[in-house]
Amino acid sequence: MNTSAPTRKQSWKDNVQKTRFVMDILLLVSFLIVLAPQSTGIVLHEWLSLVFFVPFVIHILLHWQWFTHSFKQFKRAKTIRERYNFILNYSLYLLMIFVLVSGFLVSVALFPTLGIPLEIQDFWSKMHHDSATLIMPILGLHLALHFRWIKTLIVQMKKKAV
Amino acid sequence: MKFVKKNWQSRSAIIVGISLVVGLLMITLEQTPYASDINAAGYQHGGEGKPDIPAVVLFILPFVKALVLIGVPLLIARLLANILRLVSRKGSWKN
Repeated sequence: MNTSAPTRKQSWKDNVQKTRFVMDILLLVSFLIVLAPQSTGIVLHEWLSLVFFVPFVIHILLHWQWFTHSFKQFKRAKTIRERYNFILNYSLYLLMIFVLVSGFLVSVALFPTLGIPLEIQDFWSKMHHDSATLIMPILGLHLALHFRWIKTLIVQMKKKAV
Repeated sequence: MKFVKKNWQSRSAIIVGISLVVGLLMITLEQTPYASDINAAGYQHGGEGKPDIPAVVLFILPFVKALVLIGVPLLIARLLANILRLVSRKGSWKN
């Protein structure tokens, strides 16, 4: 008779690297959907942007350690990569907030539905359009910086080493 | 999701709080002369009416645009990083 305890199959939720990977894919896919208002329609674009804040916050929660130590690490940074990573991450965060804020300020569906009157300024229309275009190459650079981590994790997952 | 759930309420409150403060500070940009200039000049992007292309293409194009704008800088950055790594390796061999 086999007396050994049955081994529970490890889920991606039990591994921090896999959790980050899955949530990052979810974030990227939701970001791509939010970036295409011409495809989804303005109403869906605005509501999805509100929902998008959830995977965005989860992304920060999963990298909490980095955020809490980022300023100390920046001061001690020895390589250009570390400094570049710090500047790029915070630029991306600020730009993301700017895109969201400017998007809410040019809302034609979300705020009127909620009964909040809004006078749309051309300044915010321009800012929303320009910052949403700028955030894409910045995201590309962010992904490039973590490309090795993504590649290694995919290889390890294929080999079932993680 | 144990990695997210650990103290998630307090940590999320900090993220949302900081983001709100940053967002409110950004709204003050509308008081700048730059904003007034844009508001005075007016702004419009995209042409009037629908372009004469199939609906499927119209649906796919924004995603292609996003993928190109993300993908091209990604590839250029990877290429530059590889070149820099090669150059630094060659430099270390010489020394």
